[in-house]
Amino acid sequence: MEVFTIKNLTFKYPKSGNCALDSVNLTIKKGEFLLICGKSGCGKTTLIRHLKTVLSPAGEKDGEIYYEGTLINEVPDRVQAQKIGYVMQNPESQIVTDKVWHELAFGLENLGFKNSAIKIRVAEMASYFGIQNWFHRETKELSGGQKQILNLACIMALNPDVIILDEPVSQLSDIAAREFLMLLGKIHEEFGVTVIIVEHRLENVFPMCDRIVVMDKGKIVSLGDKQQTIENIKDNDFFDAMPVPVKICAKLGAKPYNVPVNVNEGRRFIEKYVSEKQCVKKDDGVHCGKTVRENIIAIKDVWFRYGKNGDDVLKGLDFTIEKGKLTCILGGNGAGKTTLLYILCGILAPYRGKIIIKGKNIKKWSADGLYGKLIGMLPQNPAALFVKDNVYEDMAECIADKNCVEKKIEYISGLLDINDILDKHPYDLSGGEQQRCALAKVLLTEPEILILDEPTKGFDGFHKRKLAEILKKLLDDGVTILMVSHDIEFCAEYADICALCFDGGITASGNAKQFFAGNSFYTTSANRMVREYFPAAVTPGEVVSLCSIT
Amino acid sequence: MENQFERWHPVSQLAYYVFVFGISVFIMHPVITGISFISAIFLGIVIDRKRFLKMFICLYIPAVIAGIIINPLFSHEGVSIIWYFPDGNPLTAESIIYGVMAGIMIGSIFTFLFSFNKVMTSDKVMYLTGCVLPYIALVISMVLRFIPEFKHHLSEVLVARKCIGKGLNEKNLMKKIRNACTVMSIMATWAFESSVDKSDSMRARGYGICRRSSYSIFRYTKKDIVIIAVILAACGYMVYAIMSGAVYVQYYPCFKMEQSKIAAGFAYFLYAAVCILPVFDIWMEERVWKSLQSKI
Repeated sequence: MEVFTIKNLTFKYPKSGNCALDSVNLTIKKGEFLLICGKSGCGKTTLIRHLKTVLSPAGEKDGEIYYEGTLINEVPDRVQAQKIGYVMQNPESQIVTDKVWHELAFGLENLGFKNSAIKIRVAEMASYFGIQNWFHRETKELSGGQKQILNLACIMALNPDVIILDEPVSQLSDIAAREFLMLLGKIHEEFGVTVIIVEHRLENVFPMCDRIVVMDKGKIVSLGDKQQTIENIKDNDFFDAMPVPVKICAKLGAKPYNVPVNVNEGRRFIEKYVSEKQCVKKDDGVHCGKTVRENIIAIKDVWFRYGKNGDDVLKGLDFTIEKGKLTCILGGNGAGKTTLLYILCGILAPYRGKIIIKGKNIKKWSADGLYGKLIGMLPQNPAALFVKDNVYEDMAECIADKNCVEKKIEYISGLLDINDILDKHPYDLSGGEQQRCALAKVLLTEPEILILDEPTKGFDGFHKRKLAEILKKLLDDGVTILMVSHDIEFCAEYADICALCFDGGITASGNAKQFFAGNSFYTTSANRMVREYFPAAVTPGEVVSLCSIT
Repeated sequence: MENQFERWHPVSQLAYYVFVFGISVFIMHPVITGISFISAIFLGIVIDRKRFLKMFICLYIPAVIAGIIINPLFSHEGVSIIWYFPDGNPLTAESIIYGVMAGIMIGSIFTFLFSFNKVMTSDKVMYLTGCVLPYIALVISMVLRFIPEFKHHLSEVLVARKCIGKGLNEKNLMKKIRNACTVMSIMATWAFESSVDKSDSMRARGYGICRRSSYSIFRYTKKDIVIIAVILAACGYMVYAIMSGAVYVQYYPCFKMEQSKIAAGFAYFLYAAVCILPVFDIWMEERVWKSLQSKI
């Protein structure tokens, strides 16, 4: 039985030359877990917004959409509100009221349910989602992950048949994202709700889903189950976004339609592969030549807390950042990573300890000398950087020398692949696009030390590689880069130095390869797959090359 | 931790405060006002001792004293003359009594307001508004959601701009103003954008397709019914007592109180009983806990 049937859907936004959707045909079966993926800007969001009349974008539309056999426009509003749930990308902006309990009841109130009925439903939802502990809290106090779980619970309170999710985890940290997806999987399994999810971070979602739609430029380029999809997009750019085990095993020539999709399956595959091909086991450590180190930032015994009576966030943290290197700070939520960045920039002041930048205490630097010349920071929320009506003007604002504005913007937008969106309003961009434009703004200030807070958030595999290229180029120019991230895979592949921030201090730090090879849990999926044979291999590339030596 | 009084249903709490405020404001009677003042003090102490005593000493006592001093200075009515001011105006016993009563009345209203602020939290006020005007209550709730969100984003923008050398601590005033204007304009845009998202989220959850109901997490208990009944009954009797002249007082030209002792006595008792009800409830709870503990 089909929930949605989309027939020949073509859609064009007003004042836009290209079709956002180009004759899309798709049937979505009842109870399936459907993943829609594709590069940013390929029309994923446009497609799923059409599945709910009140959210359908305005523009030229052609073709039909049926919900359980009825044209979607003819399905009564009440049925749509109740049966088709929609979770949006930004956890913050879709919360309407100030209290958690009120938010849970909001949808039911809208449908005019009686108080007693709402009470039962709200209690059910709060218990199922583990919300009862923060039931009385104010919504502003919740973390991003909690907010998104609340949004899901609010939708589930209406008892929907279908839930549509638009990149629900793109703004969450890796751990919060995994928790959210696990909950989603549980709902899908236990209630048989049809799930339609748009996502481009496939690592976690891919193993969960039944069918996958891959889109490109408004067209569906692949539709099928996991194995079928792997086979279909093998040669596509988008293959980079696939989970690591898939990438490794496909390169090592796993049989079509039988490619491992998670680490466990991947381990078994490698085991078989190594014994069959008789690969040389290599368990020697990584050697790296000692070079002369020049520190650009030194953090000495820094203690920090928010407010006099708060808990210490940083507890005697010592760390040095080497000039001209890419340093990554990893760590869980609330480990104090972002706080550390703010302290490094002089936005927050520690109550004990000091920060020395280029041999001079940060307190002695003037604001003019420090910001915009020496230090540039990309904040966690890229939208905070935009202040103008279009991307071009926004970037122009950051260029000191007004004579070469055009040239510089042309150069940087080519580098970051944002040529096509220069005339758009920054707030109209997708998460990944915003991230790239914000990065462009920071780069245009030409800082000596570039500080990035979660730069890969909302990036697909293709753009991650692009970002890595840019960072590489900057490093060659002598820029020092410090980055805070949850993205272990990215750090393993491109960082020079990695450090783990935990409980207010740096617990481990070292050369990136050694760092991950030495960890047993906090390490890349590639390393987890092959650590028995090649403990030093941490990136897919290394695994593939080591496996090829026989 | 919430105490028993704070756990009353908001309607009971509102009824209590309407009753005590009404009586304290409209009747200035030595016994009634005295009862108000004393029970208000008790309530204040039970609810938040430290802050109450601070407020009481710094604010309420001076207010009472001001009333006591100011009235005889300006009012010279009354027949019992005690003394003459240098300018020839008389100081009368009646004006002193009136001043004391006015001071205590103001003091008791302030003291009740202290506990009122503590007990009637924003969500209760919202619930009560929602009973009468559900849409207004939703708007208030949305505003309360929006303000912290706005503040948060503003601070994010300011920090982000500071870090790329566009902070507000420019020395050049023109530049500073220009920077501030840029931030303000983007905040307006942001507010608009986020409201678009918000309205999408509201419509997606069926806002506006039929008459809304209004959910609350507050529960009526049997106790609330009893409390409201007691308050209503007391209210009825007090109105009767005042109308019939049982609770009567005259300050000028000479001080005179009511005649009928029984009717007035019953009114005092009833009023005192209602006024002290929350304190009694809290005290009973503590007793229960203590006895439970001693049994272990």
